[in-house]
Amino acid sequence: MPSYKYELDEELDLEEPKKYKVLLLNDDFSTMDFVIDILSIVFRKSTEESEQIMLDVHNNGKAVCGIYTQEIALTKVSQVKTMARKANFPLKAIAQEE
Amino acid sequence: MIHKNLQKVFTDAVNYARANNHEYITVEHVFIYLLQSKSILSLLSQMEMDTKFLFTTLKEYILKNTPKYPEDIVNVDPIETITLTNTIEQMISHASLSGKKESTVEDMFVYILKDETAYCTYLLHQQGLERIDILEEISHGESSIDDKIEEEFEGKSTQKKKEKEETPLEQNSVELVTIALEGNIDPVINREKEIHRVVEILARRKKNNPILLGETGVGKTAIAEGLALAIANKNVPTFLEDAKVYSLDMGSMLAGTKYRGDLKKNSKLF
Repeated sequence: MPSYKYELDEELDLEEPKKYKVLLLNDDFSTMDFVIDILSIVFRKSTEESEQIMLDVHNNGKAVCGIYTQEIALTKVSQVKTMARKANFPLKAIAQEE
Repeated sequence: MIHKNLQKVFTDAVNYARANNHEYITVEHVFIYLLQSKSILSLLSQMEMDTKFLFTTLKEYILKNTPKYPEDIVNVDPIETITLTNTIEQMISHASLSGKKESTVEDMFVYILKDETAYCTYLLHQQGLERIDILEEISHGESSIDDKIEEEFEGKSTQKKKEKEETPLEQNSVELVTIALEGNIDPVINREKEIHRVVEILARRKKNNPILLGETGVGKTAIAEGLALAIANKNVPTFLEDAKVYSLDMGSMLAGTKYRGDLKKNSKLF
């Protein structure tokens, strides 16, 4: 019987679950006021922070709103989606692994 | 439907989140209360897990990572995270698909661990525990956990108690003489010589262990049953009159064993 040996090229390391950043994406229809509302209600930002992030989204196409655990990041994303749909804005947030 | 125990876990978790003014109730909130339920505790201690360590680490993680409501907002219910909602939905649909009436604490535990990205899963992996170990333990554990829960709730019925007192030997074997006495073994025909030889071997002072060898279906079990029948009919020498014949069920002995060591442990109990 031939003997087989299997080897892994890489060590299998157990890693602590990664944090996720939530990004807000720019669009041409959501109003600035609505974006600021979202930032203060969902992401608990102060008025100044909200304004700054809103402008970043507007100028750079996207901006980080916060860094959370995967679970919370995904929930925030869906909160944004629900609120935006209700207000008839196409505002979109995405969660990205750090 | 959700089992009373699990419902309590949920309420405790929500209350905990509310007391800490947490904005979200996460899988970890639920998990930390699962860790405190009796059946999970006994499950984990059987697997030699450090539950205290799990508990404190998880608590630190929750307090560090859950966003809080601003201080001017009080008495607002925490929002259930999507992951938690999905987990509960999966658990319930699994229960209804497998024909179970209620989802238990164990079901929730297993379904949380299904999520490979969850922190609790990572924590248990770190301790060397895989989901499959828990599944095996829950499905074929040494003493069924469901029984324990029922006992907790329905009071200790005598029959349950009796079952608990059964020795491992009784759990994993059938006593043939009793069955013969009940008349449930058919007479063995034309094997008198072989049965007599078995009795002869048993009568020896040394090396008194007969072994019947042969292909399947030639009648090894029949001879053992014949012996049991002879004992039941007092058709044997006096020294065998009170003897018992146990038929070990290797299948059921192997079923509850996680590792090979467990089988040894089981065998030693006899």
